[in-house]
Amino acid sequence: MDFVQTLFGDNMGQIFAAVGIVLAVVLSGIGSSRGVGIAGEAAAALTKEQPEKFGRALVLQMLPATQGLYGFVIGLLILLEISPDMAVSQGWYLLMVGLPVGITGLSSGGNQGRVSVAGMQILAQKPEHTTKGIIYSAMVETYAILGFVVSLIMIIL
Amino acid sequence: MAIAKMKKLTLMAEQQNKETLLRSIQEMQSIEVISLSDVLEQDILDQFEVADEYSESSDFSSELQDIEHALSYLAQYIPEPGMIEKLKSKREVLSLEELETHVSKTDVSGLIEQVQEKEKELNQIDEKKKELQDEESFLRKWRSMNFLPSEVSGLKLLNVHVGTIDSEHAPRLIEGIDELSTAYYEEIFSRSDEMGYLIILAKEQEEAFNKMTAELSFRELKYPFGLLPEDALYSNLNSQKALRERKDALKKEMKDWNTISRDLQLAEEYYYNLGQREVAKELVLNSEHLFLASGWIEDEKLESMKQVINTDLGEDAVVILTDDVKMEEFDQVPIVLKNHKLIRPFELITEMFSYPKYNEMDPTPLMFPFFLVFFGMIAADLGYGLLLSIATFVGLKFFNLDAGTKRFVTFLHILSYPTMVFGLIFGSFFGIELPFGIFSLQSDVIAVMVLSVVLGLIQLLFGLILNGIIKGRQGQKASSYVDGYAWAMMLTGAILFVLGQMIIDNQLVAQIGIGLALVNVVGILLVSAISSKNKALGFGLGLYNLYGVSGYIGDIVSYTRLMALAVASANIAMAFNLIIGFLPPIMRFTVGVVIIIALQALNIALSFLSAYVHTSRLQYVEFFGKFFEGGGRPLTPLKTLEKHIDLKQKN
Repeated sequence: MDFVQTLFGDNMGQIFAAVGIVLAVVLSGIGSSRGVGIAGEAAAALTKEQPEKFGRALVLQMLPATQGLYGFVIGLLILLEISPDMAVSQGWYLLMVGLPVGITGLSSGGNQGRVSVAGMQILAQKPEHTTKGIIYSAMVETYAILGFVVSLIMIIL
Repeated sequence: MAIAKMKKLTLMAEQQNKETLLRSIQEMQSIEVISLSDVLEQDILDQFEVADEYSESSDFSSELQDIEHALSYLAQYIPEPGMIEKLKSKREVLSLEELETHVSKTDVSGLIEQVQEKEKELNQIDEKKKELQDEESFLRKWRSMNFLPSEVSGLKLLNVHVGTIDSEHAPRLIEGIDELSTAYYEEIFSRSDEMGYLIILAKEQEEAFNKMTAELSFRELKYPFGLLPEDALYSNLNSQKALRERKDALKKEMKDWNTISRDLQLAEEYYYNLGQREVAKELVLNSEHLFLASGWIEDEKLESMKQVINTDLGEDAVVILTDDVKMEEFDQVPIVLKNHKLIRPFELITEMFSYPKYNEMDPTPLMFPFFLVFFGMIAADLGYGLLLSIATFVGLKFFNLDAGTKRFVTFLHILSYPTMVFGLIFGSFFGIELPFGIFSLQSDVIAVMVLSVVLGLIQLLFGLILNGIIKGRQGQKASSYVDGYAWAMMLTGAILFVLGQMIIDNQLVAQIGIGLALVNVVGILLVSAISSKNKALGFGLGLYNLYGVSGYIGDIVSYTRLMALAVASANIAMAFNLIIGFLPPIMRFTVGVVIIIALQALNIALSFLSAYVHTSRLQYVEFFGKFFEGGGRPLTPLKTLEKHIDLKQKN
């Protein structure tokens, strides 16, 4: 116990809450960057052939970007709750708050990116139906939204 | 509701009027020509012959291809007007007749040839240039050779070899030459992969030399020029320069070919229209003197169509018969949506999902209020709304947009108003919290979530009741209750229960709620069993139907996205403002301004994108799923191309 005390100092609650921020922002950020990354590769490949479709390809690429923002919002809200003298259990709780948005963002970001990549095929061959690809991609985001809602409720209640 | 009433049209006229009639139909752009042969009875069919003379239409398509190719080729060289200028320029409006006289006056194939000639010449120049560039690099290598290989080939006692060898073999070659006592060598050039040598040796050592060079793959130089490399290079560069100048001159000439490009554009319109009419001709029935054409038209446009035909072809030249749509034709009738002009842009949401069938309702006006509210609630920022409103207003007012873009911009313009209204309700202006506002997106998150769910419940109930009404109207009484009213009442029961138990704390209301739900559970089982021939199977289907309750829980949870997206976009905006607030004043008002504009622009784009996408999803999955099947097909009238011009409408 003394070791833990030396390692974290007196503000253990604060440290745990900070870990919560890190998890919320970093995990969802990884998810989003992966999704935006693979969608961006496909968009670039498409733009090489049909540069006039840049705008709509950008929309498809942007779709998986939201997970990172949800994580960012939760991270910010946790930050507002932190105080140096908070209880350790409160710190643990805030750490947990970061998890739903972080983990759902981590997995849904990449998957949504894959749907966006498939959507690029629609854009390439049947551009008039691109919005359908956008909707398909948004379906995946639902689960990131649910994670975000749960994190949000946990922090507010 | 809001699906235009259609009529089936049959036109009969003399053969000589066929072209004129089809032209007027095409100019009206509102009649879809359909094949008659599978509709008419056999004895009428026998007197007519299906289709004729359609070999011609393929010719037009090749003409069209040539024109398209020439146009796209020219487009590379004719400078395009700037973005703003392009948006501001009005498209020319021509009638079909004006178009046709214009095209008949132009020598289309001559123009195509003219473009093709230039294309050919430019291609030749490119090929020639490539050749010259290859030569150039060859000559540059041999530049320091100041004699011609042919001049030194006929010596009596000595043999002269000029050639190249791979760099890796060069040391061995030199070693070998050193061993031959009478040989002399000189390096002409040296590249990383290849070296050039001049080698002189006595005739009697030729054999030994040949053996060695064969091993090391020494390649004798074949020098094709009559001039020394230096001089040949000079003339090569001169010819390249001449080619470049010729190419520039050609490009410059084509830069001013605006009128040629315009003529070709009109020709493209013309040949496309002609091709379309040929396709229509294939659907027409012919006898020796008469022909029969059939099609779909909106009831409303019938009168004006009769007038147009009478003025174009003269009274009584065409027999016009109209039929009402019959029940069994409901699946084939093409659909035209007709809505108030405020609702019309929202048809794009319905069209994306599916057109309704002729006996269904058009869901556009039903979805319209929900779409406004949901979109507004997700975007929810006074500043963002104002920005969208102004931007779209400028677009609509000052630019000439094509029909599709115009519809979408109008759509966004309408949606900017609920965005502003919800911005006021939530008291948010570019993420800054306003002193007024009913709910705050920072502190009243739970209240906003309850609001989202309530809105969702209203939409679900509305959808279920609609399904009850539609199924009832189609005569499916059992389904009307089981898939519509019963669920609506069960949902109401659940709402009453929650209300009584948790909010107003009234046990009676809660009891009534439970009662209502239970009665309908029993109702669903009974009605399913009674309405089905196999009672046990019906009962089972009823149970399965009840299993759908899990779906409703999912639907309700799904509506919490309204809150989540609103809170996320408001918080992100707030966070961006906060970050800029941390900067020292000097930076805040210099770099900070640029940064905040970029960050807010990102958030605006993402908020509106998610508002559009997620609102659509809620309509498609949660709302349309309750009552709308779709599967209709849009009317595809015989039309003109209208790619480069707009067609002048008669009347």
